[in-house]
Amino acid sequence: MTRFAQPKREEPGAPALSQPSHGLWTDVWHRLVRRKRAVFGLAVIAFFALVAVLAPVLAPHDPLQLGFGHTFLPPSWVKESATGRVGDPQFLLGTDTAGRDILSRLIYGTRASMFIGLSTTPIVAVVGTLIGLGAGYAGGRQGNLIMRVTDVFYAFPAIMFYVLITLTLRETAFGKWMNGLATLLLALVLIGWVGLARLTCSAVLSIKESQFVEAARSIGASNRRIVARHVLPNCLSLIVIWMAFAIPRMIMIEAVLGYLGIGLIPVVDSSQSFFVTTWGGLFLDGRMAINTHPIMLLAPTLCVALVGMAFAFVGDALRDVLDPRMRNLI
Amino acid sequence: MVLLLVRRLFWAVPVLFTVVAVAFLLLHAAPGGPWDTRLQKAAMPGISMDEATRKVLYHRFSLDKPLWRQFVRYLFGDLDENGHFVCGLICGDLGPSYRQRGNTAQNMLFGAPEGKPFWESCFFYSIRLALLALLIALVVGIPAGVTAALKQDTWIDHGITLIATLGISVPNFVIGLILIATLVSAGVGFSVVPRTWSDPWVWIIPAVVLGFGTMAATARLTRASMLEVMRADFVRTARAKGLAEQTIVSAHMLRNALIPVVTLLGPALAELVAGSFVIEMMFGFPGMGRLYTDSVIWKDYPLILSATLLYAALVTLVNLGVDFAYGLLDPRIRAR
Repeated sequence: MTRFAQPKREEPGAPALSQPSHGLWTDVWHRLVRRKRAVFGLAVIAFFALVAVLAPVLAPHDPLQLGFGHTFLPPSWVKESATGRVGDPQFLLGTDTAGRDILSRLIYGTRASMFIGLSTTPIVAVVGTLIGLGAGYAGGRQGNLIMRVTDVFYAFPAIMFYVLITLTLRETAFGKWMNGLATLLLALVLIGWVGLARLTCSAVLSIKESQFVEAARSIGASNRRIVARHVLPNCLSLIVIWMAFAIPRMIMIEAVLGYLGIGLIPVVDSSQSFFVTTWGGLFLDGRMAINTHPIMLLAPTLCVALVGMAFAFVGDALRDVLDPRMRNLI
Repeated sequence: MVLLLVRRLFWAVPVLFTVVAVAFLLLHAAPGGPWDTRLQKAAMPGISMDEATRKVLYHRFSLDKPLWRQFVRYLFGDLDENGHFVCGLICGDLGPSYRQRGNTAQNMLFGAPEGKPFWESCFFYSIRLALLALLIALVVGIPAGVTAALKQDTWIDHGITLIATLGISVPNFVIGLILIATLVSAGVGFSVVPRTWSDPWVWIIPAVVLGFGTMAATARLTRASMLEVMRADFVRTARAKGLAEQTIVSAHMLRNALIPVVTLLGPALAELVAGSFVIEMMFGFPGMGRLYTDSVIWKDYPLILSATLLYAALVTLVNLGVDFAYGLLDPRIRAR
């Protein structure tokens, strides 16, 4: 192989020069959909989002309906299970200890978990961005102080923090509010911002020194205008990439807490809560029945793995499209 | 360099202090004490602890004192009934265990069973598991990355890259669960969750699960940096002077490609130590993670605090060590 004249590899999907120009995000979208992995990821995410939205339509049974005549059924394709029962085509993935349809529970779990991932991440992103922007732009002593506080949070073993905070609030009125969903969201927001704040801060520190900021200042732009018009837009791609990786992380944390038995409080009455169960809750159910009924664990774990991979594909592609230099950071 | 290290070491003090303070406050803000948890009630249904006993217990562990006093007592020490000063955390006393009467948190974490060497203690069980996971991750990850780079754009490369992407994007505990569920449904002959941990072979599955993410990251990083090095001028020179391909790969490419991988080691180890506790619980591994989850359920305050502090200290220490290593490897940092 000769190594002398290496033709530069054209980036897949780079727009030809003759095309009319688009805005940045239109451009990003066009480049994104030319990457196979990104399209796969987007499709998987769209699928799970659709399942989440259409849960009541898609679920074949009421996820809370007890059925004592058909408890612990194996998946419908199993002729004879370890407990000696035969699968029923009515219950595609079988039923759990209380005779509830596993597939329906999985569909409703998708709804809650997707909601947790998609709702916390924007909140966390706003908090993290504001702190990072503030610390980076203020600089000096104040900025340093903020970043030292961030360091403290960073050193805290995150998973232990989640465990501690859920246990603290679990028995209180706030903890029981929305079956523990409020506590979970609070815990995720309280510590999730740290990573983004650090990233934004270091980005702002370098943007602040650039010439366009100097130019803006020389024509008399106020600090607020500089931050809003010049600094923030330049951090935006960083924030978007971070969000793509943060969403699955939030879903995973919920799943870990659920697996440990300190996630959402199990719902038995559908009028009680909007959310029936989560993937984490299903993990716990599956853990209890692991020996006789591995499908109860396998089904939600595969969903979590699939969603995690989908977001990673999209995040990777976004990073390559928006800013390949960030490869070492996120 | 030394100055930098000392400064960082001093920074670890407020960090660890805050960790302890936050954990302490959270624990004590929770309603209910260590002797009226749900488990306690489940263990002795219908029998709740009478007031007198509870009072004695609360007094014995100073839980009847104001919160700040308890905190000071835990951190620095306090006078006991006889007016003698009893030193707290700063002397290295982690406090008594509430759950096992007469046992100390220290003993539960670092004490080995009768007649066993020190590495049989909970703490060192976790450390050993983390180190084994790191070892497996490197031994599998590096060759996988090198192979993928050498066979770029073949199906081997695509396969390794796919598995690596899977390992990075899916957390190790989900992979562990999938593994357990598949092994159980396939009906394997051996027990996935072993009864005894004295046999070294049973350590392998938990260690692989724990280190899977690190393995994937190592493989991906090795591949990326190998691809970069393969195009370097010195490799072309080595080829031009007619060196054997094997020598080029091992002495010229790998040696340079591994530098970024070395920088991954520290964060990876910190992640393995901190991330172990779900994996430990999953496999019933008798390490610090299981001790932590147990103590959380039983509200064994001193043990929870000690374990949290230990995890935070380990992570901080490893990060410090990494910075130090960077300084040694990279003269640009040393100059600062």
